[in-house]
Amino acid sequence: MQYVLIYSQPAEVYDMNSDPVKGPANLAAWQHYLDAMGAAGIMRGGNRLQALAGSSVRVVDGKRQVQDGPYAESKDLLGGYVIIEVSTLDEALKWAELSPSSKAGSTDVYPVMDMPKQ
Amino acid sequence: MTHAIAAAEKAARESYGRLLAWLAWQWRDVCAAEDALSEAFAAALSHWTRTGVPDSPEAWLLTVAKRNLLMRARRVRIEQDPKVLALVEEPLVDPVNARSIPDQRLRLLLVCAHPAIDKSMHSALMLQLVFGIDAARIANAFLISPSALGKRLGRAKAKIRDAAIAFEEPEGADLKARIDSVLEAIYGLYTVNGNSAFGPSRDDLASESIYLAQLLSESLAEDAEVHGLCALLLLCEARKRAQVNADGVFVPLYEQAPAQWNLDQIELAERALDRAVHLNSVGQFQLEAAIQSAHMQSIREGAPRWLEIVTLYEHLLQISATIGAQIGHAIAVAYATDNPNAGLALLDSIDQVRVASHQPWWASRAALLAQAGDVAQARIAYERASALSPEEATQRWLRQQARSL
Repeated sequence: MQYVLIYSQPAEVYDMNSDPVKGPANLAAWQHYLDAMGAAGIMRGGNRLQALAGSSVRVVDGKRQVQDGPYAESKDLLGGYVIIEVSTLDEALKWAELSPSSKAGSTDVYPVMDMPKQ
Repeated sequence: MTHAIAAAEKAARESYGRLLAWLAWQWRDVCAAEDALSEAFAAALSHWTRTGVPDSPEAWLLTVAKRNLLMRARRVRIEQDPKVLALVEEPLVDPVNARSIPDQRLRLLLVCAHPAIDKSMHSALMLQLVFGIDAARIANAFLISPSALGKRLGRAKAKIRDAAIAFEEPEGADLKARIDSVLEAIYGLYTVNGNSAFGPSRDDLASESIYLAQLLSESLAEDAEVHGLCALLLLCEARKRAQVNADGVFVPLYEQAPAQWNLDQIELAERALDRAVHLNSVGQFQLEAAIQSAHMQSIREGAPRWLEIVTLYEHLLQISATIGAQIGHAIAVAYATDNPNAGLALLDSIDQVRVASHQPWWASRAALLAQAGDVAQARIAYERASALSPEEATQRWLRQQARSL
């Protein structure tokens, strides 16, 4: 069973990543977390995203509207996602809990839909 | 014809939850198990009217439901799926002793109480899925529209399947939170038909809920609230026969004849309450059971214990200030202080919007108004309570009270 874990954090956390003093510790926590996932052999894919460089597109009354920042209303920005393969939701939730984003922001867990192979 | 229908209804009532839990656990898909079982019940109605009722209706239903699951699996082409193979290889249940189907309901109840499922849906989901209670009746008890409830139940069941919520027992703190949800649902099963400390108990859901609570108390012997719930349900049930007189009129607790109470159930309840107390962890059900026990002991000994009951209610209100607890507390204060106005003041302090159509609130208010000498207001309150009462026995008693003023 595959799940996508989606990591969201407030903009300040991403700002902090480029701070010469606080940044390395924060990034090291992520590295440890991703290493643990790799060692468990459950990683099936994923990407780190430029959280502060996102744009949001909407079509209103047939006109395109582009906005800076993915979600103007929400304070957490999408910083990345991974796809993991585990057998139950509880295992997926446990990996979500371990993520640094769950302390600083939130981690969403979605089961991947099984698509019949054509 | 009617015999077949009656047999199917009996099987549905007695074994629906056990059959569903067993199929869902084997299949890891509650939606498919539910569909397969309801198709099996539909098939039973048409088959049994022609061929007669089989020796073991449960085994028949289980076999047909499994066949439905296999046919569905073939349709979606997962022939090599190990789950399907396990089901084919599993030997048929001994038709003479279908009671040997292991009770997997606790597992399914814990699945329903998973934190990833909307908490407000836990009880409704358990009542509908595991106990087979009609969604319309649950909607009525939960004060939401049946169609809204149906949609949310469907979403919750799909999430159990699609998000692959495990059928394994959770551990530690998670287990405790989920057990509390399960206990609430078992209590809900007892009360869904209007069974409560305040009214006569109805139908076999009551004994089913007691059976489940006792089953749980064996596997969760260290959980004080499980024993508290057992004690509470047994004490309410022990009074069943004394609650309605020969004329079909409700008999309030303090006018009941203790000789009519079921002493075996009271003894079991007291033992369960003792176990709960010795585990040194106070909880809602334990306190409610202790309150019922104190009421019943004071009646048997002819010595009121209102001060003790007020104290128990104060503890209960700190843990869970339900409307029922607030009403019980108001009544206890009125008797402990021998001052009906003190009780009335407490009743009036409860959120008026929530009690406007709450029968026990109006009945309690009526009793206290009558004691305070306000006959006109008391009569109005008794009539309101009577109009709000779903029980005929209770209605009769309330109208008698209004007339006797």
